[in-house]
Amino acid sequence: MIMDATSNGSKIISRIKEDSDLETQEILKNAQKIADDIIFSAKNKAKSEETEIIEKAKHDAELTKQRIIANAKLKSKKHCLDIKEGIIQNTFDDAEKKLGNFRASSIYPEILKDIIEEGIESIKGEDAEISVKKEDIAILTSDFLKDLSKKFKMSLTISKESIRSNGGALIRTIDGKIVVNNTFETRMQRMRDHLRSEVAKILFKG
Amino acid sequence: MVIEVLKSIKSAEEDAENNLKKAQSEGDKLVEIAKDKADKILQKSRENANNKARDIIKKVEKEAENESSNIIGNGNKEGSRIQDISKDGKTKASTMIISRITKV
Repeated sequence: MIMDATSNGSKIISRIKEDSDLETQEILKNAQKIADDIIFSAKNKAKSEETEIIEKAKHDAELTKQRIIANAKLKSKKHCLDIKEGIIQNTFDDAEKKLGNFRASSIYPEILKDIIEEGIESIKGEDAEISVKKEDIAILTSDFLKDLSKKFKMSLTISKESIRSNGGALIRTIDGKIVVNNTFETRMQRMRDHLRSEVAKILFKG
Repeated sequence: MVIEVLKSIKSAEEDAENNLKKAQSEGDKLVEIAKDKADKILQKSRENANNKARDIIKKVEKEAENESSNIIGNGNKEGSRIQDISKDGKTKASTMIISRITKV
């Protein structure tokens, strides 16, 4: 009887130990699997994050490159436009200087008369007075004024006030309501935008 | 004698219980170590990726700067070319302006 109890007890103890060992191994095995999964996930996440960071860097770098190049193109274009603008301005300045001497040319009296006639034509028959440089008054002979008056059916007088200009004339109605400024400077100002493109064509045709 | 046997069984059960607790604790440690390692992997990977990203940006910026210098250089050459070609037309252009201003 005692022998049986001892033998059964040993068996139970062995069984407890075996079960315990199996369960212990299972616990450790599960823990190891969880640990492996954590590392595996971390490596995958790291790879995915790395790809994302590098792709973003490539994208950002490309945008920066495009911005730098666009700025350079803009700067370069502006440089060329500034040079063109400077040359055009310089050409107009030269023309203005030459216009200062234009009064000395033999064709100036006829041109002045034409300019005056053009101004009067736009006034359309209202009595008017003409202002010119003091030195140009002699060009406006009484015959010239008479012919114009007749042609446009209006009274024309020469203003006592002379103008400060490189040439040309200023025509105003007697009541002062209409003024046609046909001085060289104002004509240039008026025609400048139109002339600009023609000047550019001549200067930069190459 | 039976009492002795029962005592031995109880002792074996206690040992088994302790072993399980110990295994559980070791398992928890394994998981904790793995978490730390995972954090380090991620941290290291981010550092590497950020370094690579900086290098990429630096390289592309350098390329862009070189290209930009070429563009500016070409712009300067074009500016000089414009100045050269305009020389011939300058007199013609100013004469044309005068002619248009004085022509009715």
